[in-house]
Amino acid sequence: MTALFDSIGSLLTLWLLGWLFLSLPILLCYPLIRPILLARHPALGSKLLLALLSAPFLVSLLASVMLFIPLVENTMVSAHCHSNCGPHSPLSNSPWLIWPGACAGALVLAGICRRLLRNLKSSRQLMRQLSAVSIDRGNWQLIPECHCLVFALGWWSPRIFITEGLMKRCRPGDIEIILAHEQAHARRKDNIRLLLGKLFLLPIPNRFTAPLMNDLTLLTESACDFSAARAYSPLDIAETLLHVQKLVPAGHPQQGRLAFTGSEVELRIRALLNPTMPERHYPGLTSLLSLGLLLLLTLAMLDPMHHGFEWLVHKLSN
Amino acid sequence: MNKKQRRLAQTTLPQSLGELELTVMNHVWENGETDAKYLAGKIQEERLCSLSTVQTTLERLVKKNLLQRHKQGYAYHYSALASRGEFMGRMMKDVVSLLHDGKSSTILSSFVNVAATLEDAALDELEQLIRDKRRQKTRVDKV
Repeated sequence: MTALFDSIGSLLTLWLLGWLFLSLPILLCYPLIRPILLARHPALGSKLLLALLSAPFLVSLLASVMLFIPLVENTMVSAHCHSNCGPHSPLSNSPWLIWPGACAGALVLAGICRRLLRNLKSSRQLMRQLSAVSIDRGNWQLIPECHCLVFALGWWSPRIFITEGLMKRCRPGDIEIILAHEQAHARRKDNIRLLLGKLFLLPIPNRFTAPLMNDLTLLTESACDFSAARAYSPLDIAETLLHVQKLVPAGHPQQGRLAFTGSEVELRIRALLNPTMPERHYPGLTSLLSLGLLLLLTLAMLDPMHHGFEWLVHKLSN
Repeated sequence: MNKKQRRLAQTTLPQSLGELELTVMNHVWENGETDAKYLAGKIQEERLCSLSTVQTTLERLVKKNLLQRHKQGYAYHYSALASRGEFMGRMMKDVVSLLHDGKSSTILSSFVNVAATLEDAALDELEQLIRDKRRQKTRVDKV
């Protein structure tokens, strides 16, 4: 039982330390990486950014688990001896390491589950309420209300809701463009992508991760603008964005005004009007390459993680 | 409806209502003053729901100060204390708040970001940019 607890505690500690340690260079180097991401097609840029955000979490988790598999220990970790010279996992029996690691790991896992369940519950409750008061129009719902709002709700199969107020004030063609944009979100499962992005950055305080999440949101929105641009002219989409922006006069957001981060709408419109990035990207190839890179990084991290953890245990023991 | 009832009706949060309660409210708004039997008949066209369930829901809505009732003959007749417009307005304000604070950004996303203001000058500049692009496109198409 003690040996099992030591193993679980060591694994969790190793995972959390790896997750934090690998997140730091990404946060520090992000200002240099950002222009490269924003210069790509937004669909590619959002995928690459999500892969970047997932790397610390996935690499540290995979590597930590692999280090406790004997076959991996034999092949991927450089031979070294402690009291005996057999293959071994980076175990610690130091309570100063095991207990905090186990507790922190449990808290993080509980935090992830809590966030997922809370979001799921809110989503279902709001969906039930809005579905009860709205009119089904096939692939979207009409809310009989005078505020100007259009939004997508839900994770796996998001529903699109448009208020009557917005319908009345839209020009011919605006609603079709808005629906094409929102349907792109539903196809791409963007709400799940954003959720994953937030989960991968969970241990880092919000003020450091906000720029990355803002960029992920921007690239996601821009990707859906470009998706809508397959059926509609980019100029028409840009005009719709601007028109929806202007629909309600200045007022407090609580009164139903559609208010915007100036930079996001502006960047989206400029991207539509001046697409400098290549039009095509290869989603299958990008995913394969990202997975391949993640695997390579995981394998590369095995030896340093093993030795790094043993060094830490040794330091704490002394 | 007295002032106290109206104030209480205005403070009941839309998110505190369940799906059936909202469905019942919808029908009351559409049909005006009505009784439980008529409402149950209407609701049963859409979903499985017994008369007693509708009666219980109506009583809950009375307690939440969204409906008022008076006896007419042997049956109670119900009417709304808060108008649909007021209620839906509050619901949409809740959605805007959720969009605004970003905490629900993974379940709820809008066509344009509901977070901050864009100045008129920036809007005008974007409008001019679009107009210039359109003129440019028209010239290229003509050529």
